[in-house]
Amino acid sequence: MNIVFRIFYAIAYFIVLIIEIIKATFDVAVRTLNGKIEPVIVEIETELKRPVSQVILANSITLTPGTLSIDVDSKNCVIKVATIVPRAKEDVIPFEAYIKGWLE
Amino acid sequence: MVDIITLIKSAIMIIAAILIVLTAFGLIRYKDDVERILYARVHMLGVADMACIAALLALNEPLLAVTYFFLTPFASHAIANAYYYGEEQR
Repeated sequence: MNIVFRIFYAIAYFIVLIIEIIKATFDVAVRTLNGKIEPVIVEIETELKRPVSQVILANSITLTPGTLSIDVDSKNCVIKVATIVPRAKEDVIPFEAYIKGWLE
Repeated sequence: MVDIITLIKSAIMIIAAILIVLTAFGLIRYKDDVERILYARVHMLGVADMACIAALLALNEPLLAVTYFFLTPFASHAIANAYYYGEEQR
């Protein structure tokens, strides 16, 4: 893919990551007050094939408060994620498409 | 005349302080009877991490903030991974 698109996706990834972090920070801060927590562990299948992009995806999952990556199965492309409340897959990894455009 | 940048920095510091107090409150609030409570505590500590990064940025220490930003997932990941596999063996 063109190098210009890759740079564009990298910048867009960081902007989306920072917005998600700010949103999730206030969400978890409110949940500490009202006590609506229900920690669960889900397995998420990712489309990313390269190990470096899987590691970056797992790191950004952990960096977002409210989601926490436990283990990465690199061969089967499965990430074990602990979330503070049960959530849909798209809400846990909204930045997967940007990493795909950036590194795949 | 109050400088606008100083005002923004002070607001960020106050927000970070409030978030850290909320984190401390959440850590001691829950008893151990809730299932998988350790993960919830690590989630709440993530809030303190983000507050710390915002405070470091407001204190004109961007290099420390970036280092913290890259290093903080490793510690959370190590705690969660160790607890997950240790719980399996018990």
